[in-house]
Amino acid sequence: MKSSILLYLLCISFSLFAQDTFRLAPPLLKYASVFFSNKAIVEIKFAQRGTVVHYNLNDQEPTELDPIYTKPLLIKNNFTRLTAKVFGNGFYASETIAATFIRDGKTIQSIVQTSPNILYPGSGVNTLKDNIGGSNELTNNTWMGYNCDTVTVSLNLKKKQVIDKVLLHFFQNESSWIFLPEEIIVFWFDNSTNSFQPFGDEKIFTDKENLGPQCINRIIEIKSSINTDKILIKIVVQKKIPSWHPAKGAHAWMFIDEIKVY
Amino acid sequence: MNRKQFLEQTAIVTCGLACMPTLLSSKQKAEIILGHNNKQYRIDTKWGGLDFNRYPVKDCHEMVQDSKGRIILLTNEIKNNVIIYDKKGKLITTWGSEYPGAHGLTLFNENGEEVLFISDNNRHQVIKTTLDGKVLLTLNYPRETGEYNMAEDYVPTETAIAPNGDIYVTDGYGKDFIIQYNHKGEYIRHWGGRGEEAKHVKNAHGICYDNRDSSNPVLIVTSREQNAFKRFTLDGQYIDTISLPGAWVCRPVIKGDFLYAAVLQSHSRQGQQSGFVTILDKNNKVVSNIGGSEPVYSNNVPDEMYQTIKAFQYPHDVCIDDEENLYVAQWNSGHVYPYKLMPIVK
Repeated sequence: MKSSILLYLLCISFSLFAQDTFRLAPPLLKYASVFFSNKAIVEIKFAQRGTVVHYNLNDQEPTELDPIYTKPLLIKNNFTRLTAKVFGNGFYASETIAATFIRDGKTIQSIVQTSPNILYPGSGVNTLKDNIGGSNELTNNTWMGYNCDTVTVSLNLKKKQVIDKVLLHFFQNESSWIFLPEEIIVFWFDNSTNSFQPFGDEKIFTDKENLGPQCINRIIEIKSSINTDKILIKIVVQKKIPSWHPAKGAHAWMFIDEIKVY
Repeated sequence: MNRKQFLEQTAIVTCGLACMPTLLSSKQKAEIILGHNNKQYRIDTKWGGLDFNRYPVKDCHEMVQDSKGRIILLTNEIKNNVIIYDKKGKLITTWGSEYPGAHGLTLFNENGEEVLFISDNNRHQVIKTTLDGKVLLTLNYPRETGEYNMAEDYVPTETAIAPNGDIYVTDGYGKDFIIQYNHKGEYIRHWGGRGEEAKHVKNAHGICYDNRDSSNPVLIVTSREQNAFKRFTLDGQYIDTISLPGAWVCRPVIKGDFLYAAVLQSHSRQGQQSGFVTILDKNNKVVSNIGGSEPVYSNNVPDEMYQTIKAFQYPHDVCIDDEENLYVAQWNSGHVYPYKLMPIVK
């Protein structure tokens, strides 16, 4: 009995001095842009001794069986999704960080869009076609931010050509009131009728909270390819933040940094 | 041993082991040591914990230690704006219900008597009090500067007091000016403000009187959105900038040869509870990041710094006691009470 009580006291005394177990922070992904013409180079940073970064390029949750990051990664394939996570003895593994790398599409000759909010003007008229984007920093002039009801984007391709996809690249950070749009509607210009025709649309529902800030691309496809040089896009911003959010009912923000045509 | 004895002993041992999950781990858990070089610490997240129903906190903004060794916490919770602990984390007393925007807390020894300076964001005032809360002086918005039309333009965040009693106030959430008064609270001059020149600041969140070079004391002002400290002479002439890429530094705190600062968040992970604590040596070079990346310099400037261990959410201030322990107060971090960090002696 005495030995058991001693063991009990020993255990309790250990537990009194038991240290907290902390989660590691996610690693930093460093790249010039998620958009590329030939290749993208990605560096993963995490300066903490006793930890390793595991990553993969197949959009799976990284495990300790995945490769350990040792040198910058070269990405050449369109829509490559890099995921990375830090592991270290004595810590909970970090949350996963991810980025999708997107190859250039058809050349966009010119683009005109609704003027963004003065706080988030982007880098000028070419912001949505400059092949620069994918940053988590909203104040670095790569993002155009809107809190109006509808954003209209009109773009001209370099020449009339066959297209079947339009990609829009958004930022989502619901805790900062930045939501994906309610709806995206795309039209193409039909020379034969001299009018815009429906290309495709998507309604986006935000009935539940998403985890953390992230870049998200939405692709609108048409069933049969069409031949055109003009695209018109209407982006409907969320007018009321959903009821699960502390700012329910307020007007949401929408952030966009690039549009691609394929 | 009969069944009763067996059950008793089994229950005791099981209970004990349940309290000690680390011993049950198949993999030996490494001891958590935070920081780098000769500034490494163990952390106690339970140090300042109190009964929330009786002694609530909102944002724990700043902390100082008085000459009796007591640790004084300032919170914007008007049930008890000031909470005073001993170094073991035992509550000594509380006071204050009239500081809804309590933000900055500075202690000054005025001819042998210690006084506090509270910067209140909501009241747009700086209030000088005794250690038990008696108001001695109130500084209203600095109309004399010609920079302000109304009190609401002025949102003071911090003060620093020079040995002669001059009071320096940073308007960190207002127009980013630094306003200098004499010990009576009479306006002397102002400088800083926003702009593109090196002498300008962006989010002048903190200030301190740096006498590490006793022959040449200077003021260090936070320019938080620029991830930097800026040094000024005591009459407001710009000297130079201490760049701290990636670090949203709060106020600088001088103790011995070192400068300590809470880093509210990592620039690359804003709004994501990505804070840590940074420590600079007497040459203003980063030597340790507690919960942050190992400091590395390239071309005399630190590489981007960022949180690596989620020990903190949004650290807002650090206090160093007479035994070199650190206390970290946090903003918007789930009403957490301050943490204590004990140095590793090597």
